[in-house]
Formats: sequence, structure tokens, C-alpha cells
Amino acid sequence: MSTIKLLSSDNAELAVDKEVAERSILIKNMLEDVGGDMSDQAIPIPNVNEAVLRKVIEWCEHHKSDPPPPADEDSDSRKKSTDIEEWDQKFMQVDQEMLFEIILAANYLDIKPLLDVGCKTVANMIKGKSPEEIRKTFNIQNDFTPEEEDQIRRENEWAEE
Amino acid sequence: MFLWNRIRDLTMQQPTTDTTPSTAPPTSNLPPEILLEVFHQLVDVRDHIAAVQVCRLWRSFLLETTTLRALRYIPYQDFDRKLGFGTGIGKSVALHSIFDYGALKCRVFDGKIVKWSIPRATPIPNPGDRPQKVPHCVIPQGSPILDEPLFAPEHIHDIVLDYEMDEEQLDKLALGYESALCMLEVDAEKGASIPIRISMGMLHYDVLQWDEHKYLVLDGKINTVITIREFAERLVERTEEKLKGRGYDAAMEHNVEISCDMNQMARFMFSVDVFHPDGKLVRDANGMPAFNRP
Repeated sequence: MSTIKLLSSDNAELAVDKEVAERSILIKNMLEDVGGDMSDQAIPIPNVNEAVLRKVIEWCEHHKSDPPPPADEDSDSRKKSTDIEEWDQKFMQVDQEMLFEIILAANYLDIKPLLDVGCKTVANMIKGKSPEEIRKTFNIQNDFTPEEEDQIRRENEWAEE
Repeated sequence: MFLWNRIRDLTMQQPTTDTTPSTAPPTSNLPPEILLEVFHQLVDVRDHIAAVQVCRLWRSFLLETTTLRALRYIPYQDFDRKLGFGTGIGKSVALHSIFDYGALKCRVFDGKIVKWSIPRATPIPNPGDRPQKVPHCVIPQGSPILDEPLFAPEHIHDIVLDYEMDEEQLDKLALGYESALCMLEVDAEKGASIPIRISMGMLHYDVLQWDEHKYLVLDGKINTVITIREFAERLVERTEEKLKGRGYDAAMEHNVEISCDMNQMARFMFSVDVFHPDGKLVRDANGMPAFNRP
């Protein structure tokens, strides 16, 4: 099995199976463009640092033999939200900064299933929370004016059961 | 190696995630397209209600993105598929998912809805447990969720009506539409508008008839919509009329529960339950006495 090298933003060189690296559509397309022979030169991944790249590679290793995702049945979108497989749940138990970095890396490297898992994980952190709890969780500044806030509070004044 | 350089150039244009030293990086570090992706995982309308109150960005995303708004509607075909059969009607209706969590509950006093609530968790089955006094709060007009259309407008457009039919033909057509929620009725001003009746109850013998033209039919298509609030208020009004003289006293606060059974027989069946302040079911709007309730 052929191995390729990836170069992180902080100049760490990581060797990885070609098959594993090709979970990234970006890398896969790059390799195809250059004819597949990249054994001597490291591929620069300028947006992703070593720690994050290692995490991403770990995910790709574990999912290297996943079947390709089924053709998008978009009307299924209502149900799919909470189902994150157990390994992925554990994988995503990282601090928020790392979680966001993984998502950004998955987006940049074009690894759709990893991006999905990341987004679901963030969505699960929103679910069931009050607006204030959400702000606290994500360090979001409340940018409504006091008048707007009063209006918003009143128009969302659903009784809690 | 021009390729690597090109890619490097491209990627350098993206801002790197320069996180602040605070403990949690703000979600604003996530680019908008990723935040949108995250929001598309929120299928519970109660999470939408919370999220619109978080900040301006979140609010505008959730209220102004068509695909996110679509998450707050349940297309009729979903139920069809869930049950494993097709009705063959081929018309689609999408109901607001506010009815997806058990009943939409209201506190009614003097003919008006003075408090709204959606069950946060599993609805409490025993109405006797209800607190007797809650402060009134009338949700102002323009509330993001409450004043959204009851049915997704883009789906409503799918129902095409024929002006030329006589009453008997329309009745037949209405029967065909039974499982797709809508019943049609000829208006006095034939052709100008056709109010829609909503079937309530399995046998649809008790029919709510809209005498205001909330659904206007132009060019054979329904093109105006009713909001959840208007719908609930109208239901409450009609229910009260029917309950007068049956132990219902408008001067007392009653709990009203509006629910929509969307699974059985793949139909939307709305029912209204009115609870006396002492917790007893007054009589549901299907005309069934309390003891007949399952």
C-alpha cells in the first residue's frame, strides 16, 4: 500500500496511507491531478495544524472502509439529527476549540461525513438549551438592544410546562 | 508544482481561526455556511424558538433561510412514507411542526387566548396536575414562530381547485381530499373564493368552516395563508360557541389543548380539548363526551 506525506501548517510531516488520505476529496482530487505519484513530496495542508491533522487522520483511518454515502435523500433530514455512531461520539469528545478546528479542517479538506458528524455534535450542544445557556456554551455576545430584547422575550413567551 | 502553489494561494485567502484566549471560542469562528449546516440539524421547533433569541445572526439565519424554515414544516408525504403506503393523491401539504410534540396548549379566558405553551418534554397526561394560576401573557403579533403560516405556503400552492364544479361534484372531490386534510366548499360568491374546511375527527362529521376568506383562491390556486395563531384563535372561538351551556363558563380560565394526530391513517386530524379549571375535560370538540375518550 502506498503512503503519502502531508505537511501541516506548523510544518509537521505526517505519513499516511494513500487510501486513508483519500477520504479527503481535496487530497484525492489533487492526487488524481498529479497522476498519483506523490511518494517523495509532502502535500501542504496550510490551513490545518499538526494536532488537528492528526485527529482528522485518526478519523479517516477508522472510517477508511466506509461505504460511500448513499445518494442524498434530503427529505430524510428531519430524523437524522441525533444519530451519531458511538465511535464518532467518543472521537468528538474534545474541547470546543478543537471541535471547531476539526469542522473547519473537514470543510477545507472536503470530508463530508466528518463535517456532518461535527455539525451534528455542535447541534446537539444547542438542543434543549435556553437562549442564555446557548450564549454561554458558545461564548456568543447578546447583540440585541434592550428594546429588541424585550420585544423578543415577549414574542417568545411560551409557557414552560 | 504550480498546483500546490495555487492551492496554497486559495487557502491563504481563508481567514485562519485565530481563537481568543477565552475558554470557549465563539461560534462566530465558524463560517456562515458551517453555522447553517449546524442549524440544519435542528429539527425541533422548540430549539428554533430558543435559537432565534440568541443573537442577530442566529435570528436572521433561522427566520430568513428558506431551507431552515422548511424544517419547521412536516410534509404530508413523510407520513405517507412512514406508514409504508401512498395515498395516490399526489398533492402535498406541509403542516407546521409546532403540532409535533403533543398538543399546542393555550389558556383561554373570556374568549381569548391569554397564554400559549408547547410541551417542553413529554406532555403530562393528567390534566388534574395543571397549575391553577399562571400569569397572562399575550404574545405580540409578529412572533417568529406563532405567526408563521400553519401550512407551508409553497405546499399549499399545490392544491388546484376547479371553479366550474357544482356543489355535488365538490363534495365528491372533498371526499377524495379527505386524507390530504382539505375539504372544499362552494362559496356564495361562486368562483370568487372557496373557503376551506378542516376535517376534525375521524368521521369528519364535525367540520370547521371558515367564514372568513383566509384562503383565497385565485387562478385556481390557494394563495393566501393562515397563521398558527389565527388558526388556534379561530378554533378556540368555534369550540367555545359549541360548549356554551355545557358546563363551559367564559368567565373562568380554561385550558385548551389543540392537537393534530398526524400518524393514524396518514391524515391530519385536529382535535380541541377543553379542560375546566378543576381539570376535567369539558367535552371535546368532536362532540364526544369526556368518558368516550380513550
